[in-house]
Parts: sequence; C-alpha cells; structure tokens
Amino acid sequence: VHRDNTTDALGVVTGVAPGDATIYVDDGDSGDSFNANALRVQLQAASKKQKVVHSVGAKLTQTNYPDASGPQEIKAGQTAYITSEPVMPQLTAELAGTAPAGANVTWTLTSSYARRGNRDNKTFTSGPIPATQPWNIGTAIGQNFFGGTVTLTYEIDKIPKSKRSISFTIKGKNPLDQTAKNYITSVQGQFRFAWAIVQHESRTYDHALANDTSYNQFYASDARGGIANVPKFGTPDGWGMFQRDTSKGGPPSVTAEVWNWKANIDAGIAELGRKQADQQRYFDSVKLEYNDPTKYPAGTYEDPPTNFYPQGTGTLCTPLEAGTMTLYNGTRGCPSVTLKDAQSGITHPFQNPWQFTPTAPSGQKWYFYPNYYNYVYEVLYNEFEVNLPYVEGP
Amino acid sequence: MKSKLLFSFLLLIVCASMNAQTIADPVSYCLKEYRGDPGGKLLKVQIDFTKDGKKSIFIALVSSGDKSGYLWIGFKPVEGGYARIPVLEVNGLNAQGAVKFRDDALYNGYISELKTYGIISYAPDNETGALTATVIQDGALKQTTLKRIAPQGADSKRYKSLFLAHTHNPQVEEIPLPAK
Repeated sequence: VHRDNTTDALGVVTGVAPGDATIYVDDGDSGDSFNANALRVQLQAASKKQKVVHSVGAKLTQTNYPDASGPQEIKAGQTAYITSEPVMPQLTAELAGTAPAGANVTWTLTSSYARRGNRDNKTFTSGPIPATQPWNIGTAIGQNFFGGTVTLTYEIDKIPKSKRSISFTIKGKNPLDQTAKNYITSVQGQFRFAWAIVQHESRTYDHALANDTSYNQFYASDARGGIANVPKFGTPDGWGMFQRDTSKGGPPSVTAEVWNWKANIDAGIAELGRKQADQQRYFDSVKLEYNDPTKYPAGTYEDPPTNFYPQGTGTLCTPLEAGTMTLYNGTRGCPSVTLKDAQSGITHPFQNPWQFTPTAPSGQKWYFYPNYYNYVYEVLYNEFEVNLPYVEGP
Repeated sequence: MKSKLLFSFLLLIVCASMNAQTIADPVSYCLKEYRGDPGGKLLKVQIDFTKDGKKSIFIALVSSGDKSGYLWIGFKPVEGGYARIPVLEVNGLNAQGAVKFRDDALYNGYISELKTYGIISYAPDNETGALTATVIQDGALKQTTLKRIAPQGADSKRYKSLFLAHTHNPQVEEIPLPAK
C-alpha cells in the first residue's frame, strides 16, 4: 500500500507463514518492495482487517546474568543485574524483525534512580548504526556503574514514527561476605578496623527471620528494610556497604559508590583517611593550646595515652584509631571545646571524643567520651571481637 | 540546691557578658573570624524560636561537619544587631558555644514533646538515628535527645512530616570564605 493509496496486484508469497511476517507500510521508497509482500501476507491472514501497525521490536539480552547458564533476555518490566564481582550487566540490544534494507537505528539508554534525585542520571547513545547490527551496550557504558529505572529507546531512520522504548530496571547482587571482607582487608591499609566498620554499617536486620545479614551493598531481601537488590540506604544520605554519607564537608557520594560495592569500599577508606587527619588536627590543636608556656605552667600538656581499651571492649587501640572511628560515625554526644586550629590558625569549636583536662593528674588528663551511639564499642565489641552474629544473605 | 543556684548565677553572668557584645552582622563577623579555614565555606540558616518574626541566625564552618551534622554558633536578634547565644548544655555535656545538627534533616517549628518552638534534627546511625531538639531555655541553647527512630521503618511518617514536607525546613545558604 503506497502513500497515495494505490496498491500492487496481490500475488502469492511463499516461505512466510501468516502472522509471522513483520508488517511495514510502504513509505514510497522503491527499495522497500519486499515490505509490500509482507503486508499482503498479513492482510490475507487477517481477513482484510485494514489497520496495519508497524512493529519492529527490540530484543535486549544480558550475557552475564547471575546464575544463568547462558544469555538471558530482559523483557520490558524485568530486571538486569549488576553481578557480585561487581560487573555491570553486559547488555546487547538488537532489532527483532526485519528493518528496511539499508536502514539505520539509533539506540539510547537512559537511567535514573529517583531515590538519589538526579545524581545517578545517565544517558548513552549508539548514534546511527546499521539496523542489522546489535548495539553492545556494555561497550558503550564502559567503566560506568549505575542502576535504577532504565529506558532503552530505538528509532529506525527509514520507518516514520518508529521511535519505541523498553523500560526495565538494573539492580545489584551482593558479594559473598567473605569475598567482601577479603577485599576490604586488601585495601584497608592502616585502618585495621575498616572491615569491622563495614560489617557494622552494612548490617541489616530481618524482623521476620530475626537475624542479621551483613556486607550488604544492596538489600538482601524485601524483608530487610528495603527492596531486594536495590542499594542499601540510610537516611538521610548513607549508601551501600560503608554507608558513607555526604559527610558534611567531604565529597558527595557519587553514582559508582552506590552501585559498585568495591568503589563504595574505596570511598569509605578514603573517608577514614580524612577523618584520621581531622582527629590528628584536633590533637595538634589541643597540644598547641596547652603547651603554650604563656598560658599554662610547664608540664601542663601531655600527649594522649599510647593506647587504651575503649569502654566495654577487649581491644587495645590507639587514641587516633578510636577518634577516627568516632569521627566517621559523627561526634554527636561528645563534648565540644573552642581551640585555635593548629592547621588553619583559626579559633573555632571542635567536638571530639577526646577531652583534655589540664588540671587533672598526670596520666589522667585525657579522657575518651564515646559518642551518642557508642560507636567504637559497637564496632570493636560487636564486630571486631565477633560478638554479634550475622548470616550470609540470600 | 546551693550548687544549682550558684550555677544559675554564673550562667546569668556568662549570658550577660555574651549579650553585652552586639554584633551588627553575624555573617560579616564570622567571615572575619573564620577566613582561611580549609573548608572554605560558611553555612547560614535562619531559625525562628519565638514565632514573632525575629529570627536567630546560625552559622557553621563546613569543615566542622561530620555525619551527625555541623557545629553551629547561634546569634539572636537584640537591639542594634545580634548577640551570640550561649549554650546551656548538649545532652548534659560541655558544649562551649556550639550545637550540632544536620542541614538536610532539619525542622524548625513547634515541638510538641517540649511544648515550645525550636529545632528538631536527625542524626543517623545505620538504619536508625536520634531525633534531637534544640530550644532556647533561660536565654541559652539547650539540646536534648527526643527519641531514637527508624525513618525507613515504623517512624517513616514522622520522619517525612518533619524533614521532607518542605513546610518547616529552613533553607541553608552557603557563603564562600575569603582566603587568609
């Protein structure tokens, strides 16, 4: 059926079963004559129903679908998964049906995750590529990690109004607990409690099963405070295993930290480095204040103890370690003191678990105040000293 | 009782001496005091404790922040400008002039538990956290913990009504600090 409503004579088409043919309305291009054949088949099979709808579908396949023996088709409304390694879903898009000869298709993948506003919005496009050629989405997205609601749009240049889309989701699988722990210990460097911090931060309690899982970058199931396989979230802005927050003054959490558990760990370790520097800056500021002979008698200042047992724990740790852990969780509930900052020279309030009392006897001048959540105890006693059980997540 | 009276008297003296210094503009005052801070930014938020239209100003250094919030210094309106608001106590501990709260989980309005106007803020710890109230009592800031809540669980309605309703959530302004 041509645009001018003229038709070719009906002929006999062989080799195409009624109902199986892809139907096009001839757009007048003489190169599309085969489409008219397909249309005739459909018209005969449909008892001359006149409405003809173009339908070149798209097929989306994940080649690394977790626990699948081969490629898995991802249909509209279904989920593709970031693997536990982690590796982004290796997706390939291709047209299902026959496009006009010489046609090109332009694929576009857009992704967003509403829970993070527009911070995780991503767009990738193939540009015009031959319609016979699949689009390797995995190559297009490169090293990016993201997830959420994803829309794959395609448009064929030789078919008018051919723009169609498929919506699906990308979620993530957790690594095994031991795999996560091994990775953390391999990158934690001087922060020997980092794995225990992660074990604490990523714990999620299942009220129905009355047990915890840990090392959750993603919720392990619907019953654990979230939706299974979406990033673990702590209000207002904590994400993934480390639950690193925007942490006020530190760098904001980026998309990769939310969807790639190794990136989450790396960012958490870097955050511990900043907190350790903050804790040392505080110690230096206290020393600057109380070691000033114009203000205090000689001998007033003394260094923090070499190490100590935080209240309730059996783990010997340094004041710097305990301070760093506390600062990671926040110093809410600790005393504050106004001091001249040893780094910037500015006088401002510090809130810190370590407090110095200049008038106290030697050896008793420094005191460790746990924060409101008794975080050091939680990390050391519950996790590092292995007193709080958890189970491997599903 | 005697020590309590003595404490109140001392507090009165401290408050009086702090109030004695009138600051024309708290932002200019802090820009001068904190220039060269490595965080490079001040935060400013206006808080209504009295519902009479006279708002207090709170200022924090970005570098003072952690997961539980920033350390804020309060200035209340007085004749001719503003005066620093002393801090009475923070959960019973020495606070030396500053209170801590997050800027992204911040409510300013009536606090039914305390039957007064003030701030409610949230400090997270994994999937639960503490609601903290900051009010002015006897001319000074007092910060107390209201309760521990689960914002994604049983307390999600309360959390949303406090912090995500966009009706009583003051906007925080960022102000660049000049170099030293």
